[in-house]
Amino acid sequence: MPAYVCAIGNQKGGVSKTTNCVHLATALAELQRRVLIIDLDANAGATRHFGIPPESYLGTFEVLVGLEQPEDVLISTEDEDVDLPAHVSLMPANRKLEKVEQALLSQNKFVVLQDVLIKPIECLRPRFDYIFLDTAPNAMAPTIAAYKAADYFLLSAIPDPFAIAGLSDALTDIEAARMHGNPHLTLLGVILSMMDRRTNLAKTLRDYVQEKFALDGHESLKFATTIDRSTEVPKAQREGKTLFETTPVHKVTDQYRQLAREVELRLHKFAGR
Amino acid sequence: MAKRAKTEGSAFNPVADSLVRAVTSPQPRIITGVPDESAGVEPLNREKRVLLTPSEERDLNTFLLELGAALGTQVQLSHLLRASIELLKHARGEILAEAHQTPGLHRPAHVYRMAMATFERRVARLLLAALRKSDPLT
Repeated sequence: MPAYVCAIGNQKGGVSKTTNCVHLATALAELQRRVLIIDLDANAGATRHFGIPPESYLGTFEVLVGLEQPEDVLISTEDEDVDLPAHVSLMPANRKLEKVEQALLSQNKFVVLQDVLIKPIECLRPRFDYIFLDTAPNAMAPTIAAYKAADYFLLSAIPDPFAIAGLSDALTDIEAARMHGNPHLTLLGVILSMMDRRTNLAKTLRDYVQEKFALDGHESLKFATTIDRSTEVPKAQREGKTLFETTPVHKVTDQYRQLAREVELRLHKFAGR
Repeated sequence: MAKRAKTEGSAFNPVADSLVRAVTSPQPRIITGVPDESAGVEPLNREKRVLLTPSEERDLNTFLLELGAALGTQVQLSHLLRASIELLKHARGEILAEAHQTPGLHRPAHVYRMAMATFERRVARLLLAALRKSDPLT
């Protein structure tokens, strides 16, 4: 079966997009799924999360501007000097992604910026079970290209009013992508992370998201599994590792395992597999 | 004095139901690009050509990218020019009044590049003065 292609996003920054992307991918890889993460953020959060120095490797920028073939820039466990989890591959990002639009337009002013990810993904799709597109908190070319190339969209939010408001911008972009060339883009669900169950605000916002995405009596698109706030996450990030390596036995690590199963079940259901 | 918008009774609700419904519906609304003539919308089918130098074109492309980045969305040349036309239409009265008060402005022949640049700079000054006098765009 060709890969499910899932973009992860929210226009607001700091809402655990990358943390969710990296850990969801690793949890699926733990289930022996072949997973690829394409880092589309110039801040290279996913790349750094795996302890990979962004400037040391060719990656998304070179693929988007056509300088490299997609399969040639993938980092995997087979590469020396990197410590990726088994079954996880990464197309790394670096700061050059900020200039991808200028680079593309300088090559060919008729290039359709929003379509630049479609061919690379079609090329990689047969090799993986899941391809996750880690987007930046903006609407620049790589992010819009993700909306255009993905099959599914995972919204990432935290119990913060601005983060919840940011969902509205992401929904607007999803709808725009569906109207303008990707009619099959499907909202897979909303992941709520960094939950502090002790606060009323967190509970209120969790209930808001639960109800908001359960319109007209349908099952809510908010995933039942929510991810708790934990200091173990930034500790793992500092080491350039995932929780699956630093604290494999931990409440939040188990929550990501549970979330991965939920995501996979929902994908199979939506795709009719 | 600053005026506050009415917020009485409005609860926290940043995500509109209509938007969630639109995104979760099986079929998106399809935009065909053909305007609805029956609704009285004129088609966008008149093309105007403007010649630029290569450096002007580069500057303009860079500006569009910067503007897009600042706004967080893609801005194309047509958006920028149509917005500029909207602005000129808005200030039409002030522009004509300013033109009446600007003596000695004669368009040179195209071959005189410096004279043409000066002419266009003077027209730009006229536009700026008129725009400053125009009402806010609502």
